[in-house]
Amino acid sequence: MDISYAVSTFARTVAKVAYTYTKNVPDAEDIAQEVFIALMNSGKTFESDEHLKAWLIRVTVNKCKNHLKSSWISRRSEMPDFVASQPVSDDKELLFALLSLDEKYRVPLHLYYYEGYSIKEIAEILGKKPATVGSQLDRGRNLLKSMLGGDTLE
Amino acid sequence: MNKNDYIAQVDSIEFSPDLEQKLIDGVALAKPSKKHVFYPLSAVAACILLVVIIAVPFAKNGAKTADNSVVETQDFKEKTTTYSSKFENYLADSSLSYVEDGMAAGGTLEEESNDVARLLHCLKLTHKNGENLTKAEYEAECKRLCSLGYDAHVYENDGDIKTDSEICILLGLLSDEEFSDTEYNFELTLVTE
Repeated sequence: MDISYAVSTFARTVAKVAYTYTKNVPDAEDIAQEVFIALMNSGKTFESDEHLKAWLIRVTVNKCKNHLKSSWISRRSEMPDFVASQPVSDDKELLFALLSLDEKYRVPLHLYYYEGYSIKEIAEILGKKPATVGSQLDRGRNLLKSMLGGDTLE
Repeated sequence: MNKNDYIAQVDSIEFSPDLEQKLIDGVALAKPSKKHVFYPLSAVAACILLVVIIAVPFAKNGAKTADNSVVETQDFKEKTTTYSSKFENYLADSSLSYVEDGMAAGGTLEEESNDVARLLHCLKLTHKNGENLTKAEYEAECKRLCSLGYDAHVYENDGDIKTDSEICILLGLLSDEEFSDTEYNFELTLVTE
């Protein structure tokens, strides 16, 4: 596996998915680092770039969950969200509204709207049933709608 | 607001401008050196021994993530065992036998009313003489379990559940509140099974 190619092609995809979990740039970049080290250690071969991308996203999700579950992060999470991130501004209203949702909504929403995955593909990546992902997308959109006063992702 | 707004806002997240190079450098640092083979080999052997010592207690209760790191599922198993024992004790006085159990998750029995990925206990039952139950008998048993307060549903397995039962009873294992701290581990288990 050509790690340099994988990094140059998917580094920001991985970092953005990680950001939807961690809500801050330094942690997202740290997780991206762990993901590409995992790729190097895996020795896996991939049928296509899409296969590689899906694998990277799945490992990113698992790394993020491990990261968020660690006791250190649990204690730190008592601090306000976005403390290590950019300040909330009007031009990022939708992004920060999405980041304020529960993890089970924001990750499918990100993969659907940003990465352009179908519900079936998201279900495969996250290891959930398509029906579950569909209902999470629907509820996530409704939550965004209520938060943003009627405006939401279309 | 629309999809394009969201994409633009995500693209405006200020990651390090040299992120790719940093990652490549980090991966290079993480690569094991090929220059000193013998000393690292002994270190690797020690690490393997250490991992075995640490991993054995988790072997029965651990779940592997997509990148093969072990995730602790001790709490999950303890709760499962408690529930299973309770149920087996109940079955001891029944005319049926409890043959096997499995775990199932993903969505919910009532998808539209609750999207918490609940943990379910899969029960395969037989008569005491080993004969399988018919669907009608499963339904009757299920009804009885419900009357006893269990969250039970007959389920015709379409391959979602890791058991060879074509039909079984799914029992809601834990309430959503109790389940919240175990949901995470179980999702990971599903990813790699």
